[in-house]
Amino acid sequence: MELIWGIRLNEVLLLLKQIGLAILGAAALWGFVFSIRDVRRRQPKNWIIDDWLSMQLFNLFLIGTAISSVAFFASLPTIRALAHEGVAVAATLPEIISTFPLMNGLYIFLILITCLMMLFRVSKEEKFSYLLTPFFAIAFLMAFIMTSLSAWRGALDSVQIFHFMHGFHSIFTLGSVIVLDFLFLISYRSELLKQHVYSLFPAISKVIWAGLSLDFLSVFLISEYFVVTEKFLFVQTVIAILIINGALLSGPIARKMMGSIKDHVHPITANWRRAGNIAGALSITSWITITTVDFFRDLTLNYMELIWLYLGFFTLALVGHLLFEYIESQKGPLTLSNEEIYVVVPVRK
Amino acid sequence: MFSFLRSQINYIEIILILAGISFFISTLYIWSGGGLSINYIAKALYITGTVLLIFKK
Repeated sequence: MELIWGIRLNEVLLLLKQIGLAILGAAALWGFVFSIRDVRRRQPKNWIIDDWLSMQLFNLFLIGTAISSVAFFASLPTIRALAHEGVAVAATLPEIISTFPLMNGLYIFLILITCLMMLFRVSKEEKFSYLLTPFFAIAFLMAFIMTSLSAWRGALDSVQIFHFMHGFHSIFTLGSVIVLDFLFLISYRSELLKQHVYSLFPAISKVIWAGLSLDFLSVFLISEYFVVTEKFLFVQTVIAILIINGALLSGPIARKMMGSIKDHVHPITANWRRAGNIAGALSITSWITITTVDFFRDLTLNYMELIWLYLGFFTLALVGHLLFEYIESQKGPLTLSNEEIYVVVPVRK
Repeated sequence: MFSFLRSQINYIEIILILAGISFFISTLYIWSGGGLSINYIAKALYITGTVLLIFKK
């Protein structure tokens, strides 16, 4: 069923499945990093904060799991009905369908262990806190397998390796960018949280850069299949913007932000803060754009129409960021409640 | 302006920015009927910059 501009319903569902998997995979990865980081620290105050952050990432994990699971199970009837369609190097529908038996099992297992963790969260908070580290590790491995297995060709050839790498890089790129933005937003009102979140910026940036490298390496495997279209040229333009913006965001802008937290003698100026907002909104818009466009094979929009749409979404993301900042600035500083500290304190003694 | 930028950006970030600019040039080159050669250079620059960034002390 075609929705608009040549976009089909089954393509939207597969896109949502991939975005959901990227979010849950990245939330599990960085949740695991935060939850294991507390063990290596000596000062009690520090590991409480790291644990608290990993628990906040569990909320993002739930959002990713819900989006991905609903999209996957909703896609089953629509994709099976359209199984005769399929083109070129992009995964054909029969190749996508051949992963479904395994994906069904993995999704059911993921939903079950997530429900179990939610039960622990409600009834046995200490157990929930204790099990969060191994849970995130298992969930990350599952998300890695599920994103890699977007299609199965029946043989381990160069196109199949391309499908693997083109799938799992979303956890390290799109997913990690969303996690970064999430952490940035939840730490906005607390200097203590900022210290913990900002200290992980360089590591997250490296993972994002490496993720895109893996995607580029995977594209080398299928270079003979390249077809120059307006969609391809648009994606190349967005990648150019994304790289230049990323170099500035993870370089001078991130250094200014980290410096402002380290010593309060040099607070971040309004210009740098503005630059941070613009670069952050541009980054998330660009990642979502290249992931989205990738899923819509028969998009009827031309280059300029895609550019205008991209700029429209960037403006929305920027306004959203500024609005969030304004709303947060009207509130008082964020502090951990006694209940929240109680959840993370007793189990790590 | 240039000296300000230079003081804020290190050599790895310059390589990555050059990779981004190469992608722009590559887009124009492909659009005008050229092949993927500049695109490969852009990707090689990007991967070089990323490797340097990851192993930077």
